[in-house]
Amino acid sequence: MRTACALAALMLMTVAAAAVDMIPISIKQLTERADLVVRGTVSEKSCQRDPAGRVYTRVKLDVTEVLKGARATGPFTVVHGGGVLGVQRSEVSGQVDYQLGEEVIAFLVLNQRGEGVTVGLSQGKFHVWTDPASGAQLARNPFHGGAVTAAAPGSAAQPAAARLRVDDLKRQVTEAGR
Amino acid sequence: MNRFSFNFRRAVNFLARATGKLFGSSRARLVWVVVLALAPLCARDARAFVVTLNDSGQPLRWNFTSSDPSLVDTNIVNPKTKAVRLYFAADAYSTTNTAAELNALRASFGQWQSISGTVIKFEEGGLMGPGADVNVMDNTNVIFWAKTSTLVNGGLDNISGALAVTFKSWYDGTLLLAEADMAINGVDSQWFTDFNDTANPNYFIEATVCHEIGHFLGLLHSPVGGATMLYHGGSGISVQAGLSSDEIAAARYLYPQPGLLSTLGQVQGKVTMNGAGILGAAVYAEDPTGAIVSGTVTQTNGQYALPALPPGSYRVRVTPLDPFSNISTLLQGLNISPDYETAEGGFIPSTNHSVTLAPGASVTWNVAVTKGTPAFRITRIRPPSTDPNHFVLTQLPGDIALGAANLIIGVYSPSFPATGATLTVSGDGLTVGPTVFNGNPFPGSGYTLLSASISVASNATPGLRSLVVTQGTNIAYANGFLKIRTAFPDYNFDGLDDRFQRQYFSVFTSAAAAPGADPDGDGFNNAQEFLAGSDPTDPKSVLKLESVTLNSSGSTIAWLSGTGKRYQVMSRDDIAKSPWRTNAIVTGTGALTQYTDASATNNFRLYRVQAIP
Repeated sequence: MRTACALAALMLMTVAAAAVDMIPISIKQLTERADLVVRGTVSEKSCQRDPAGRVYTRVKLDVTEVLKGARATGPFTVVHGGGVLGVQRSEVSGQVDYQLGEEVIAFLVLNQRGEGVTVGLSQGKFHVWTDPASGAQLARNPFHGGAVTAAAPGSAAQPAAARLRVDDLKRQVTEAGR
Repeated sequence: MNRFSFNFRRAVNFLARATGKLFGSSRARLVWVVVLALAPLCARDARAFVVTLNDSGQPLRWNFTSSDPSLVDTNIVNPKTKAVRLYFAADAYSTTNTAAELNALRASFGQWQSISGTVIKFEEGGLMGPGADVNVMDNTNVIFWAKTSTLVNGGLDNISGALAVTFKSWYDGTLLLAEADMAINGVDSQWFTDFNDTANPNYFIEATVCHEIGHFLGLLHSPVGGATMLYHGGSGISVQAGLSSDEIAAARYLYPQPGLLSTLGQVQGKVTMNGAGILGAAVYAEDPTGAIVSGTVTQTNGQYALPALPPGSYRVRVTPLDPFSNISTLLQGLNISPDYETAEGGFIPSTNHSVTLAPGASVTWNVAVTKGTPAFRITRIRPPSTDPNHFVLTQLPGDIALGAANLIIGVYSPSFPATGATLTVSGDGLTVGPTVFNGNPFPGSGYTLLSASISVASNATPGLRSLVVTQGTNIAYANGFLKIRTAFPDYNFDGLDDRFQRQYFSVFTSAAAAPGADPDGDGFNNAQEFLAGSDPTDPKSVLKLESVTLNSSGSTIAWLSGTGKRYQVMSRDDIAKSPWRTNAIVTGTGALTQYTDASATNNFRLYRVQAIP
């Protein structure tokens, strides 16, 4: 059953705010718990209903690099609970949020349908961004990688150790996956 | 809304089918993307404690009192009893402690229901068989442990790394909650139920579930250190196990009984910096005893509100949350909710502003904060200990009992100055010693530490005190991060010691455990049996004289007693004319306690034994 949430555009929206009692997962643990670690870009996003009536979000990820797991690059489907269908919103506290066009490194387990499910809700997605000051490619999730925004001129610089370079993240994944 | 609500679900389904036909096209997908992009612009999250509001100022919440069955199924909110219905998974967490685990769930919901002045009410619809899972569209509020896999919600979500997760659905325009499920992580975490097992390293069910019920009821995380809704909790019997004044205010604001809010007060206003409202500034109300009563964060436009405060005097202040970093922070905007990830943290804490709230009053305090980087921030807590050389580092609040003496407390920061900084604790009844600086408590960590000894008077006022570091005009707060415990635990606010209720009742919040109840029908209610040290579930266990023996030493009176309980022995020689006089105050030494009245003679004398606090 494939229903849609186009009607939601007409509705007054609120932000799905996350709230969950979380324990930080290390990059090593994330890697160990993941069936698949991939780098890619979000190319499509839709809201649907599963056969049991659950509202969920389906994310198409164009995979450019596979850091762990056996699969080829190219389109891959990631799902997560929650979304808006009609006038009713479904929310999962602490949920991951994939933005259209966003580049990510995703730690995924496969569900019974072979779809990717993000490990530990929002913890399993690292947003990849480029520091305009240094040109370095950086990654971050809620517990690793520091702020996305570059330090404003004249403000106190963020400690370098807070930043997580994509190369370092990839290295940690590779080492944990051995 | 009501006009169209007669067949709302049917309409939703129809529209869903209709739009489903469109959805195969890329155009429909494009519409969805636009919706997601617009959503943050409409965010209006903030009140004391933190809730989600729509543009009309309506908060996300249940309708307990007049729920419309066409919107919310009668299996979700029972319109007859006006209670939210719950279904617990019968297999709970373990195979050996199942009943206690289910009772811990009941007690957790019972705690929220115990908040006076609210319409919060829960009822059990029944137990679920094996295989319970999340589905917030199935008209059943389910609470269960995920035990074999962290994949839940029909394989849509992986809850690894979370102690528990609450799933909700609601109507978008009115923010009317329609259903909620709770999955507790039984794969990655271990759970226990015994409140007296203070050394247990696992997670106390009631603490985590009380937190999740806050989300279930519509709350986001709180910026108050000792709040149950702080973004994370510790293992063991943590401060989160009992609801704080912040959750009480939240419950009264969201779910007030008629007329309640007119008896309470509110502080509201706007926080600006360089003339513009700022997002995510933390605003706290502290009472005259130095306890944080409630806290919130500002909305995008700088607006805030601290509603449902008891009438009285408060000091209100604004302090910055920490910037997003994985290095060392105590509380970031992201810890409140992802909507606050970009919370403004680059300003100097305000001074305290005094307000007095009359019943029903709303006082406005607008404040302009000064842009700048604080000279130092408190980024970790050193919990109270007796060992001055034992360094522990945590993001959780500490707690101290009344009467505790010479404990060491402290706070950490990457940037405390080596000289001139002073650590204090807000409020009355505390003796805080000189501040000791340690520039390298954990070699290589970059932390500095300020410590001090602390003693708490036995008559100090319990509450969530704040740790404060000052150096000249520089100041940093850990708001509500030191809890002064009450004389005894009373998480259901009924005045009776929870330990007594937990000892004799499987659910300490149940009606049978209430102070005025007399479940064994012996004529003594629970409060009286607590005083007497008797068993409230055994009609034979009551305070009564067992024997009076007269010999050459005097008369010896023996009575059924409880260890540690206090009794007043009284006597008089004439049943009508002489007054009762107190012979002695005796502390119970076991199931039977006795007292010898050496002044007794071979004559008539009446005795009375009275249990006293």
